[in-house]
Amino acid sequence: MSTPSDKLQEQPRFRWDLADLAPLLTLAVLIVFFSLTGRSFFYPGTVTQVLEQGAVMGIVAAGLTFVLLCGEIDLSVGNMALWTACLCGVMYELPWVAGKGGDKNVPSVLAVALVILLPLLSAIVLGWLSGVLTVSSRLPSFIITLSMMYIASGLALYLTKSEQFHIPWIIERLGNGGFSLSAKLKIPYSALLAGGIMLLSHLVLQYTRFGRYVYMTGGNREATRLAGVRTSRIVIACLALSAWTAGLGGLVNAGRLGSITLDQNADLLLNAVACVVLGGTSLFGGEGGIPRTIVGVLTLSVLRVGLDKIAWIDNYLRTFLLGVVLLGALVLNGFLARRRRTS
Amino acid sequence: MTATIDNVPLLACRGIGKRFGGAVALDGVDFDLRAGEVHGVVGSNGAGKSTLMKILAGAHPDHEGTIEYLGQRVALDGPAASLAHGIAMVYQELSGVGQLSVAENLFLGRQLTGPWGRVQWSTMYEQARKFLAEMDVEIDVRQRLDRFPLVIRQMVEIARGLHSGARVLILDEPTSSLSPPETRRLFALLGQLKARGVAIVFISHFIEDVLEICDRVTILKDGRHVATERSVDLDKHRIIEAMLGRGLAGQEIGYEHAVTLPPPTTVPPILKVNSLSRAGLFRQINLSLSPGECLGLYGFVGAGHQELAHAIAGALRPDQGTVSLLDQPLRGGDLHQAVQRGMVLVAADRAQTLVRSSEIYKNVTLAHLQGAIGNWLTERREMQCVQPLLERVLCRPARPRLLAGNLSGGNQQKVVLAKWLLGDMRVLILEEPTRGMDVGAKEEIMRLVTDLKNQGTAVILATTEPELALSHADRIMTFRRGEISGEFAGLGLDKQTLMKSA
Repeated sequence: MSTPSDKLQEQPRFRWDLADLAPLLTLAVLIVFFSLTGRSFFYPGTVTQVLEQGAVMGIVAAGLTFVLLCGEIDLSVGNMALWTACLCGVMYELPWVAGKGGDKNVPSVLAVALVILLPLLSAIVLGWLSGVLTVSSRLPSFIITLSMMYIASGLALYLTKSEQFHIPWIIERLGNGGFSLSAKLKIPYSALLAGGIMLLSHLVLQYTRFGRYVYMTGGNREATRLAGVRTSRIVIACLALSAWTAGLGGLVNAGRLGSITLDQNADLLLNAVACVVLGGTSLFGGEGGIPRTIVGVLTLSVLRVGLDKIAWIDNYLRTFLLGVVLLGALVLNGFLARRRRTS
Repeated sequence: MTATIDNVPLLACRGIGKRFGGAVALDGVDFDLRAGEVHGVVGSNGAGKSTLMKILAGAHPDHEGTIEYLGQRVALDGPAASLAHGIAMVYQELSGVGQLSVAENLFLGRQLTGPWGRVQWSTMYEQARKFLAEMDVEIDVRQRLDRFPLVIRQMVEIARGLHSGARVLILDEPTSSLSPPETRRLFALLGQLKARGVAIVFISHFIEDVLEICDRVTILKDGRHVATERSVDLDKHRIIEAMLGRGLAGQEIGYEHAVTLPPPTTVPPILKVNSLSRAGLFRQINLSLSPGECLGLYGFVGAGHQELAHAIAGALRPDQGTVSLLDQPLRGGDLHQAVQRGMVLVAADRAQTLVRSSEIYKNVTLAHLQGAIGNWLTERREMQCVQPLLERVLCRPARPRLLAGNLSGGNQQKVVLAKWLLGDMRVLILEEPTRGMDVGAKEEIMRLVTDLKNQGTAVILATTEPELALSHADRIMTFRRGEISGEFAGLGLDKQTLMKSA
């Protein structure tokens, strides 16, 4: 008879197999492929480009990971990002913020903080509302967040009247600036922010009660409810969280582009969902996590940057190729995951 | 009546047998059915009723024995073959597509179509109305099926069977969820069909219903045929006797002799349930429970005692009435509060109590994460908590990192119990805690429950198995159609008395 501590040690901590590694392998294969085919891919500057591409997607995908883990979906992330950025821009050009001197006036720190925080708060409120409606109406979050998607984009349209707005200097700096490590290699601030959010999300998911409840709610909602966990609150919190990260992503994206217009963030929703799922997080909840999402974000960014660097591809064909490679990777990952479950 | 009963059999089964793996579900059963009779089939859980009916419905083509239809040997090797021989089944858990109209349900799978596949709605509606009118059902056939009460849905299902040319109708527990007037209505219809020469198989737990409507009754026990007799020669007492295996089959099983329930406890109650009601499930239930006491709730499937257990635990919101723990009322349907105050539920369906896709230790710590592990979860702390618990409940294998879904049913239940052992447990509510388990696992689980009870936990045991209630409960309440039909405490009680009371 072995003692309990013996038993603890004889069990492997992790069980790696092909399905776990598949997303990582996809990423490695892509990097090798592009390094061989694209002349200008294997350079430090590419790293900067990949990080810039991935930062916004990463921020949004982090929040979305929570939602997918608890078995729901948030379709409003793209337009939530747009709404947050638009509110920020419109508020920034209000007379009491901009001051009498117009563009040349330097606004106070308090005013800028308000201009950034209030839009983020509004995103949280809208996400919270999606959550409450999802839970109380017992409709799929698919439907509720679809409506919220229209509401957010409608609000943005009404507020901006399709005009262009300036943004606070600090956001522009966040979107474009970075630490220069060498002449070519720069670590963008936005990527640092994304990394910080990813790290925080990972710690929350792995080491807090809330994170455990998210996984268990996604794994089996009824069983978790019968264990006395208030699963509705978990769902609401996840949707609010996802709206917040979406808003943050929207601000960073606006900073990267230097101004706020209505045509931003159009493909953010699809990119973010693709990132999360590409990493191997289940659309049905309970399986996956932030490390997977990071792999997904990097894969998609590498794919986009890499395709741009292959000179002989017809410009109008790039999106099509992106779709084909994405499809292949997703089907392969899904196939391997299913094989693991049945074995 | 005798004129129809003495006809040649419509359906004759000889030596029907069926095994699932090593377990014998049916063993050489003879069964025959005559045109124009209602034939009752009774037996306790696991007696083989549903296996026999599934064979007739073509769900188990690999059975032993022969089946003759009107004297001709037939092979019922699929649902289609059974339907082609005029055998239609009306299942207990309905049946029919609720979102479609009544007429569409009647013509499900064989819609009337004109040239180019156009659906002939007007003809369909007219025929559906005519057909239901023949059964004295006057409803708007264009309405959605799920807007009608259960009895109408059942009748539509019966009509569908008849309309597709059925001469044999199998009804599985048709009255279990019907109110008494609805039952009357169904019986009137069955009488009508009988006169038209349709043969009806009537499977039911409600022996009064069987005696009332059936011409003959077949009793099964442990997969064997015990007796087939005319119902005029039977009474409830004799049927229960035969179901339990005394007399005709000979073999004796436990609890025919009275067990003596302990004298009522004098400890002041911890749990009080006051006129708890939920429409269609249970009505005006009052009960109280003391620490260290085990209260058995016994009834047949659908008697409402299982839903009552859920409502007491807060998993189901009652329409009215209160549940109070230590004289403080609980909010109805607030499971979180109930768990925090130490009242926990182990539901029968382990798909609802276990996150099968997660590791065992995550399942065990789920309910009491804060109390047992704290705010910051580390694997080491969780393992230290979970490992001794798994060994205490004799979970095999006691490996916390295994996926819970990979365990056998009995061990899964042990994990569920371990989950609640992590925190304080004042009231433990069990619903069918040992369903589908082998004898060894059953014993281990119930020994755990007994240990808890002896330590002062109050236990509610809701079950449809009389043996379980008799062997573990200190006090037993029986349920019939959502109401308490009897209470037994401090006296001798045997299985027969118990089952008759339900």
